[in-house]
Amino acid sequence: MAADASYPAEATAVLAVDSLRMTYPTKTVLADISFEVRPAEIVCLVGPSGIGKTTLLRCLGGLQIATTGSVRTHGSALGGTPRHMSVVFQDYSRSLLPWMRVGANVALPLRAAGVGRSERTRRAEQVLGEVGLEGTSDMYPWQLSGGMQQRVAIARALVDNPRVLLMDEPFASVDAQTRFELEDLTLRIRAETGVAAVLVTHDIDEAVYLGDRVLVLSGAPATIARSVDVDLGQPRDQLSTRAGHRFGELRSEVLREIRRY
Amino acid sequence: MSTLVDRIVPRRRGPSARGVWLGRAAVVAALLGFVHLLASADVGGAGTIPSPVEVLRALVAEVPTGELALAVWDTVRAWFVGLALSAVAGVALGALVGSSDLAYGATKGTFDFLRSVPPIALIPLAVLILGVTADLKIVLVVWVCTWPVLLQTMSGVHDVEPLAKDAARSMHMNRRQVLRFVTVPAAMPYIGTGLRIAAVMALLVCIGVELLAGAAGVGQLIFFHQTSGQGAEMWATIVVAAVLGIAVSQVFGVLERRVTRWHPSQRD
Repeated sequence: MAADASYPAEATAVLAVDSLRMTYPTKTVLADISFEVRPAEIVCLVGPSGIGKTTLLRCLGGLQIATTGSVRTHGSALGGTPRHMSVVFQDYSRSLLPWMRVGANVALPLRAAGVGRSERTRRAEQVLGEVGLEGTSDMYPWQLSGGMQQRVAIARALVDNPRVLLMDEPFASVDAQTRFELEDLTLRIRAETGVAAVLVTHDIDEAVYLGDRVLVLSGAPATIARSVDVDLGQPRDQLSTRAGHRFGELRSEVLREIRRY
Repeated sequence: MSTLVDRIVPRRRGPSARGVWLGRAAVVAALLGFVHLLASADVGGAGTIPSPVEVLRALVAEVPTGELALAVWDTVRAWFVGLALSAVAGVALGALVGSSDLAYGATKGTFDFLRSVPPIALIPLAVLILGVTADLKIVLVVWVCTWPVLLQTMSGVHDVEPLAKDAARSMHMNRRQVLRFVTVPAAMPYIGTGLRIAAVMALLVCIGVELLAGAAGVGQLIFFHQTSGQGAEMWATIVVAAVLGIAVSQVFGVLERRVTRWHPSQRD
């Protein structure tokens, strides 16, 4: 696909989507979606609401089966969420299990994978530390603030050392200040662990701030109308990056593309 | 890290614990006094209403005979066996039906109707089919008590948060793990409520069947005392039945709160 010309197909891609198409009985939602995600790359998906961003993410995560096309990760085709991939949902209050304490929630993917208790407890503590939640293991998620609950969800997603994080509007349910903190947390985790991310957002500024690349979905059925390389470099800073001239150009470029339809 | 906890517990000033206990004692004393007055006036004639002291004396006298203990045992055994069978059947069937939207929608109305048939109305039918045996009680208990467990389990399993199941699938859980880690815990508050309702109903059914159909147990003992004109002994046995009822509902209330501690309705 032309939009991907700057990212030649490499054997090292952690996620490769090829001609993905999603058709429901009454209409086709997604058509001919192809892109790749490289290690440690953050790819943001933006587009008008209802365009099918979440559907696409669910197809990538194996939570929904695409009508045609393929999603490959490390060369293997999908059936269910693949190993080395985990999902962060928008609604932390419903995706975290309220009857389990924070530590148990975070350790759950390891428990399901058959990891022993002491090892998974150790790992859960470690990853809770990475998201800035030391000492919260014995609390229930609902005793924490919204931003902290989403950190728990991120910790849970990271606990099994994924190569790719799928994030569906991950910061849409928290206040603006918390949102900035969680964005910077995401960038820091990427820098520290080398995890790649596909992040769905309706917030263009967020997409430009976080992304190495922004894919604009538009049309009906939706296709990738444009791929914008975000050449802002790293590290990024909430104040200076967002105030920069190039940031403004990039957000205008993305916005124009969305408005065109 | 208690600073992280963003919960505010509004503390209203209510009556002191001691005041509440005094109030309770006063209510009980007033009730006993009232019964004593009725007994003194011989309301109903021929000692229909014995004084609380006589009832207590009859209770104390009846304990060493073993007759009361045997009756309690007969009742409790049928209660337990019936309830256990209902719990197993209700949870298993409810989990099965609740995990299919089609089965849930198709059966819900019929099950609601069947649970509404008053159990006492079924006694004559059950006697005709089974005769008066210990099994009669158990069969009726199972019939009555499976419904609340079944319906509650169905609802609990059916209402499991879809996003929680998605999260479970994204953690590579297989079906059994989803059941174990998500569906069952999520349905526990519902099942707990169903079991508490069933436990109390089971006791009502046991004693009702004993009283009306003459199966051995506390209900039958009440009937015997009544027909042989032993007013105080009859009342003493009724008190025992009441204590059984309170014990069952308290124990199951505590169990229910324990399994639902995390539920929004129970958070403090």
